[in-house]
Amino acid sequence: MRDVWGRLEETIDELSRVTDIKSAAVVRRDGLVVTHTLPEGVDPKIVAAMTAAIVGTSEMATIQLDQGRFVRAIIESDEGKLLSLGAGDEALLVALVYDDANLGLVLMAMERAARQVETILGGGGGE
Amino acid sequence: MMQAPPRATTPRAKTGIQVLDDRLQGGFPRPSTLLLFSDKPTEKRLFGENFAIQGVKAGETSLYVDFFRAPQLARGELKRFGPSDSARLVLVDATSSQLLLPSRERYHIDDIDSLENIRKTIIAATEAERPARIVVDSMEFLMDRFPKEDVLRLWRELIDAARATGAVICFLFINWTLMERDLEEIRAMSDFVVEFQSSVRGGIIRNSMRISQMASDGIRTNWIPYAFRDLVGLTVYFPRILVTGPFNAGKSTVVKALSEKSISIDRMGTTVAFDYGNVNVTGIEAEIFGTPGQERFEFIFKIFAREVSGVLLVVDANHPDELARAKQMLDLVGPRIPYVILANKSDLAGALAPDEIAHRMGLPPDVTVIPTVATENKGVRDALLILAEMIIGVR
Amino acid sequence: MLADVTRRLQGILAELRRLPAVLGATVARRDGILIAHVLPKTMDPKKIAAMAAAIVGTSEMAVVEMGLGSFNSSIVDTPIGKMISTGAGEEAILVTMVRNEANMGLVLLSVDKAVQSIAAILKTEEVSA
Repeated sequence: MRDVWGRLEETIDELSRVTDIKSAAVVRRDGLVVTHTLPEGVDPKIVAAMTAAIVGTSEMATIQLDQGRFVRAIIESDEGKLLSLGAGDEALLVALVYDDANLGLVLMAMERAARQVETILGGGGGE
Repeated sequence: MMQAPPRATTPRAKTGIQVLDDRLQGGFPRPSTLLLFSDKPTEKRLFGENFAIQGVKAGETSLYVDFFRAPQLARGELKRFGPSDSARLVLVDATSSQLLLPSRERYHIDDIDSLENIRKTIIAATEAERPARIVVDSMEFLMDRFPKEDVLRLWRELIDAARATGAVICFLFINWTLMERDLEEIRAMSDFVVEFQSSVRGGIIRNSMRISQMASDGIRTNWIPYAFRDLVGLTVYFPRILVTGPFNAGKSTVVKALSEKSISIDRMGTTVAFDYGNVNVTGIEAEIFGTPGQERFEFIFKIFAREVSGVLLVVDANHPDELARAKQMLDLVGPRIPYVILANKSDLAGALAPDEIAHRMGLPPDVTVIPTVATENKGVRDALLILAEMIIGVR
Repeated sequence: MLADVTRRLQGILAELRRLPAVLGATVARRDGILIAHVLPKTMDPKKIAAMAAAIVGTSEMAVVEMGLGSFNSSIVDTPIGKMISTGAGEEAILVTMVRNEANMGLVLLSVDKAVQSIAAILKTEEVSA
């Protein structure tokens, strides 16, 4: 289990090093924090709960609107963006990016990280 | 040979986890024998360490027999439980001799291949130090090296030595090889068995423990979820307490009243997503989630009503017409989840009595209904405490 | 008075809907109550209204928690289109569904215009009520 957590940490550290990404987190779909690189002063538990609410609700809205499947949610604000997407059945990936970020590159990095997280959690198994 | 009893400041040995100590009528009786048991390597060491340090914090002497860690390492790790008088923590050093190093501890096992040497050292330390608590970490170390019958004999001798001193002795044990019959025997030698289990889901580990008293009408708890907090030690930890109920019952106010810090996503006087707060009261830690009350937001339950430890169902005691809705919301959370009903706004003139509320909701008579005034933080803590006791298996 | 407001809001939405890129739109109160919509009959506008309120409310708080300034919009990407949720004055939210192949710049301009109109109508209504 320590290995799973270490690998998740590694994935998030690597993602956070992408130029336009300020910080990132892996959270469980029901709103609990798994691991993160969020800065001091930002409560990771609150971010986790909010991400779960945003993604979970967006997924249900996507179904209501007959739009196929949820791919990602992008929250745009004056000083940056909050990106979240699914990382398997159990988890979500969320990242804070700079306002002028190259979204294409960021999303590519996030997709890759999300697949990694999915693999780590899928293959890990319980103790 | 009767020894003078150990210096103990309380009649019972506390675990330091208040709800647990309350359940144990103050703590473990003196003397008693505890078996900290699991089938896999999990968290029993934390409980043993916590128990040893709680004793030291209470002014007692604790004896810690560590077969795995060098004394410096053990002492260093034990500091995680907060500051304590290191002189009262007596270690039996079992590793220095193996590393061919001189021991800095007063008690050291010089021949790890001799069960007799091991026995003599531990008993000498017990008789000389008169500890109130003894932790043996861990018996499978001996089971791996020596014949089973010899180890079981030593086990009994250590129990006798502890009893003579009036101490509480904790044996950590992982079972690799023993058959059920031998496990039965070991359990029979113990007064309390503490079991541990861990589960993992979505990258998060959940640890829980269960305490069973071997006496026939003894205490039996449910699986108690716990967490370790740096410098504090072990706490009972509920990952999710859901606060739900009809619109305007006072759910957000309850979350706010319980929490040190809370947020509420609300618009035009109603919660549109959720409330969230973190509670830390009398040794219970919990994450509290409040749901919206309006029907149009029921989809939120699909997101947050997972792995719910317990429910605080908040109803407006002045609105019996909403009780049916309250019951419906309880069903949204799922069956067999412990809950307590908060009859809120019970300070108003039209408030129904708790038993009237239970009756009108068609609930069994043993359901707990607590009158509360959330805006004045009245009754809310009590409700949470009662819910915690229900989850642990006290009520 | 209320019927007039609804009619005018419906007008704004209909105009938005006329853009080939726009699949549907909804105006909701920030507490999740439906005000007006131009959605296909297969969709439940009340559910959309509530969900949009949850999304916008949470997003606004998330942006504050993370020190990102003020909230502009929430965009949900799907293989077919985007669901854009944005505030429309203090009391309302506009949700617009847009095809993926759309000229986003143009669409967002229209959405912005609609938001201003909606906010103005509701503000007037508020004052005169």
